[in-house]
Amino acid sequence: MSAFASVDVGKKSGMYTRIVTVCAPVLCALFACGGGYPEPRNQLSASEAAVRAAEVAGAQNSPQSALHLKRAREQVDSGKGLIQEGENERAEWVLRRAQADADLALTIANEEGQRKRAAQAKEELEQLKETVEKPVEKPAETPKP
Amino acid sequence: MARRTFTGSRHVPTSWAGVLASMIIGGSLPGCGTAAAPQELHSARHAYTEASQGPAAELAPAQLDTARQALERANMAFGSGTDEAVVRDLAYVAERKVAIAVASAGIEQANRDIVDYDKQRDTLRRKLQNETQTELARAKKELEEQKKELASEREARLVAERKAADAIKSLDEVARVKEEARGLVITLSGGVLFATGQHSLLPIAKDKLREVAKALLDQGETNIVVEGHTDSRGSSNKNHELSLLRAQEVRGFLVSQGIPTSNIRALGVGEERPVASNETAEGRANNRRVEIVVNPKGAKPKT
Repeated sequence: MSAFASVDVGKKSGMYTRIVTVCAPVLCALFACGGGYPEPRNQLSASEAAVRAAEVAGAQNSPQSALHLKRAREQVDSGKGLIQEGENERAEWVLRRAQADADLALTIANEEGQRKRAAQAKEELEQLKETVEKPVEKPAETPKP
Repeated sequence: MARRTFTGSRHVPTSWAGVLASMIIGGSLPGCGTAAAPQELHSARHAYTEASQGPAAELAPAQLDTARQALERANMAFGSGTDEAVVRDLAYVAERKVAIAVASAGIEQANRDIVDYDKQRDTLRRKLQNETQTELARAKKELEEQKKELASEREARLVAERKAADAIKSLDEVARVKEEARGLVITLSGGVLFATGQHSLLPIAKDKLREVAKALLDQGETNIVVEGHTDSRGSSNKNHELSLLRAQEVRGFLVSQGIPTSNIRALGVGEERPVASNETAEGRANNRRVEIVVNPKGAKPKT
């Protein structure tokens, strides 16, 4: 019983060795062909979305945010070019930079908008203060009949 | 390539983030090698230190913490000898995140300012509204008072006019009343007032003159002239003298009834201004008369 078992184990072990010997080079070849750094599609989408959000917020309307928006656009274009060239890893980093610039452009645009609203609120307050502090002009006494 | 190490990511409160950044910049982290950090990393560290010591620490702590984490990743990459291009990328992103934290602080500050301005504006508006309402109430009250005053004056005027009308009506019953250019003329027949050639008032005359005096007092007249007139019989001088005596007699009676002496004077006209022919008895009777002129034009009472 134990002798038969020993023979079976030996047969199986030899079979595995043959399979590994045949398949390993094939698997290695396959891995080498398709296993490079993947295209950063998600990062590209995220960067493009960030650029669009900055544009919608009006980032192109003020110098500081417009500069960052411009950089973001350029870096998105550069990232796309790198993807076409197969430089996927480098492309991902460039696209991350693009997203950071687009996010910053959006925040600066929002900040400027909010500062303008605050300035307007302050102006309205000052005008109201002037109205309140202005002495009330009483109407002239009407002569009694 | 020298192996660089970094203490690793550890959550620290934002207030400590500046201290941590200072430690990083100062090179006080254990195991830091001598290799120079890329310019981007220097720049990101500097930006973070400034931001963590500025308003962003209070106004945008979450964004500042995100920036801190990004900077730590860059520092770790630098410390672990990662490719310099990657370190520069991470530092670039970290610096942008610091700038986002600073801009977020600006947004928060503007938000707070707006809330503050709105509160102040609401307070002022309420104050202005209260003042306006108070002023409106005061003006309304004043208007009501003026209306009441006007109504009261109108009522008083109506009462006075009614009184005057009543007085004239009562005068009409005892004498002839006529509005002339020289004033209101009350004519009393001489035959009713005096006996022929006399200047003493008859008893019936006194009753009529009491009515006249009452009417004059009711109207509050302040300027009265009593004129005595005769017919043309007898001498002119005697007629003049008689007419004056009769006018004085009437004046004296009116004064006795309450008309102030300063408001009334007597005048003897004699036969000079007949109102009818002296050829007939009826005409002469009409000419014998006493006229009481109320508020005569251009005349002043004799005092």
